[in-house]
Amino acid sequence: MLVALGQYWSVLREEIMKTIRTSALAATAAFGLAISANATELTIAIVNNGHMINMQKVAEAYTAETGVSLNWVALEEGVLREQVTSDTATGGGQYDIINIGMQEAPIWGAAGWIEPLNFGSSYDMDDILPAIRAGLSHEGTMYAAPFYGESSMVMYRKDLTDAAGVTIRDSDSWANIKGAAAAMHDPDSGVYGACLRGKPGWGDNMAFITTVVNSFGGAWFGADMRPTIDTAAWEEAINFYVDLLGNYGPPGSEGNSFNEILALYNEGKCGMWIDATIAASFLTVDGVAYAQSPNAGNPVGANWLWAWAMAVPAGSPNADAAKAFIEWATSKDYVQAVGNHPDFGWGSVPTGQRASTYALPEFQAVAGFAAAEMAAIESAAPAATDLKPYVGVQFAAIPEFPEVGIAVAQEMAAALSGAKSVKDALAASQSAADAIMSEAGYY
Amino acid sequence: MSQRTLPRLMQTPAVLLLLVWMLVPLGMTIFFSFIRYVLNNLRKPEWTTPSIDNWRGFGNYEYVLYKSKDFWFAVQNSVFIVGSIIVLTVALGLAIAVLINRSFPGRGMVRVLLISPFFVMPAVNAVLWINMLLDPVLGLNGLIVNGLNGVIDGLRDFPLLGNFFSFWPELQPISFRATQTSAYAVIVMVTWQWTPFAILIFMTSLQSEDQQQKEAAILDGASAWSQFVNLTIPHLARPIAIVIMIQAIFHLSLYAEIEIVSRGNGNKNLPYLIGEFASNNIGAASATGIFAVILANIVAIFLLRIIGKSLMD
Repeated sequence: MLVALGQYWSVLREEIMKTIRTSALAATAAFGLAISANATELTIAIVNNGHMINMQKVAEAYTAETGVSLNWVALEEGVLREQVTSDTATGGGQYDIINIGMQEAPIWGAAGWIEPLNFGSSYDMDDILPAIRAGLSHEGTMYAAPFYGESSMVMYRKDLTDAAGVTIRDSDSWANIKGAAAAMHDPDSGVYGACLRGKPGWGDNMAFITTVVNSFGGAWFGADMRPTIDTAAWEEAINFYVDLLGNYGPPGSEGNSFNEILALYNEGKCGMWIDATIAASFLTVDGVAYAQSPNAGNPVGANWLWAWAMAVPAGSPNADAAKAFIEWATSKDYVQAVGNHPDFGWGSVPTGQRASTYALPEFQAVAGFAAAEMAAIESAAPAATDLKPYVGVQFAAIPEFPEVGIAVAQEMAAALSGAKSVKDALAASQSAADAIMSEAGYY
Repeated sequence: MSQRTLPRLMQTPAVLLLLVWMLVPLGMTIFFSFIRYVLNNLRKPEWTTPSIDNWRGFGNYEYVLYKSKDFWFAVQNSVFIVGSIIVLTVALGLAIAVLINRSFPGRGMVRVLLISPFFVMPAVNAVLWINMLLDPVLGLNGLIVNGLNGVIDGLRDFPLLGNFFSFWPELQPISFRATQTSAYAVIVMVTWQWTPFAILIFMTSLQSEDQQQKEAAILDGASAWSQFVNLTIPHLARPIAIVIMIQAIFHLSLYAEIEIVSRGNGNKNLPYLIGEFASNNIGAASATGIFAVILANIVAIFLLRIIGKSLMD
């Protein structure tokens, strides 16, 4: 019996940590205060991708200038989300600054978990790309400042399309994309027509799949927030996706997300890749060309919109120092600091956050993708429309979305690998989403 | 009586601490499993504080059992994965332990190499297997299948025989991240990691095997197989029981491998399901946690009954 209970602990270790944190709220807060009484020290939780990792180095200048010491906690995206969510939800107070995305920013702002951000005129709020700013705001107030932003676009190998005698245009039709993928597909010589995301996760395969569904005229939820995954638009879109990736994609696509496909692409194994615009700055193969995302008649929502942003948890004892740091790290000066840094340079500046970055001649000189990226971000449409009552392109900005997204993501991966028919996968997705939404009290 | 009082008094703090350490989390989990408790909800903000006012009886349990998608699938997978790993590690462990029990040149080296997988961290193990070995394009899996296809292609050019090979289909690499195969990927990588544990335990107890008994058996004309079945296996009953118990305890809580292989697609077990609920719905996560306790207890009772005898002897 004792053995069995011991086993139960390890099963629930994660759970227990959360509950302990809840109950130790007061103690933690007091502890945080005691530390901060001496010198200003900011603890910053960041996602461990390139631009953020670089920031740790660039910010050494900030510490030298202001005397504020910075304590970095770099975590993998999924772990970061989990840590930051439970810490912020229970008022744990571990972090002074947190990295969050567009899915979280508006709902956390609405819930009062994070502080509104108002910066001085030198910050030039109007320079921030309007789509990004809207996505990080709730009722007109910005709650998280964008560090970098991205949309999605087609990145294809011009040498391969030329050799195959096909062309890919901006905002092409999906039918033409499929034709181009088929023409380039040559697995015997290790080239696959289209590399697309298939790894289950609401920010992984569902980010791409949702843009496909949007372009077929579908949406996650209808007017009363009932899921609409059983509609004809979804069925058409998923059939197309499974057909395209199943026939003209690399084997094992159900395990591929951004990093996996980046590796394949740089090995020269992909004819085209439709993914985050930020990928363009990591591509090392020759002959890459860019095109705006394809659609099937509805261009609204055919390309996604995402930003990694920085926010201050409500009630942080160092809120003022934290806001001052965010103001610096998301400013025009920061872009200059990265561009002029001996270790980085203009190819590594964070993009997609400010219009002024794209106007810099030094940046234009090294970034061939700049125009395509800017166009994609500007055309992204996160706002609610007649088709959908929620904010967000490739997600819905509601607290329940991650749960819904994960459930559907696994069904889509099952459909892709042929374990289930598209119809069955969609039916299972619909009932799972319906259960989660009704459990959450929407209807 | 007084002889026992002092030791018991001295044990008390440790026992109390353990009891609190166990009962507080268990009590909180049970409490959360009977109330509405979510991290964030825009429609019903009152559900975000764990309070008795949000009492909902067995509602969370009903939700997990009847409405949520994967509960029974996760239970099945938990049992399937643990069972397969135990069977494979015990069988492989026995075979290898017996094999390296005799002396041969380089035995120490071989033993160290055999034990080493056990010192690899679970997450590293999973990343190594899924990306470097099992990946259908860039991993060993893909390379071997490509190589075989190349060889078959070459054979087709032979006169006469080539005709025969032209009927062979092109081989396709298996993706181990797919719904159909991801559970096997987890089983393979955990078996690789835990077989050394079984070898280690079996190897040490084989050294205490009664050699005179074995010599007597040989004199009586017993074959190597009947020696193994009638002498070695009974001798190893206790270590086998230990290996099964410890592995059952560890593998019911597998998480890292499942996350890395396919994020629960096709290989979701109860801990992973709890993790998914915990992204927002703490009530449902707690109810699933209680089910996990029940499952662990069923497995424990079952194991104690079946193999406990050899431990008690």
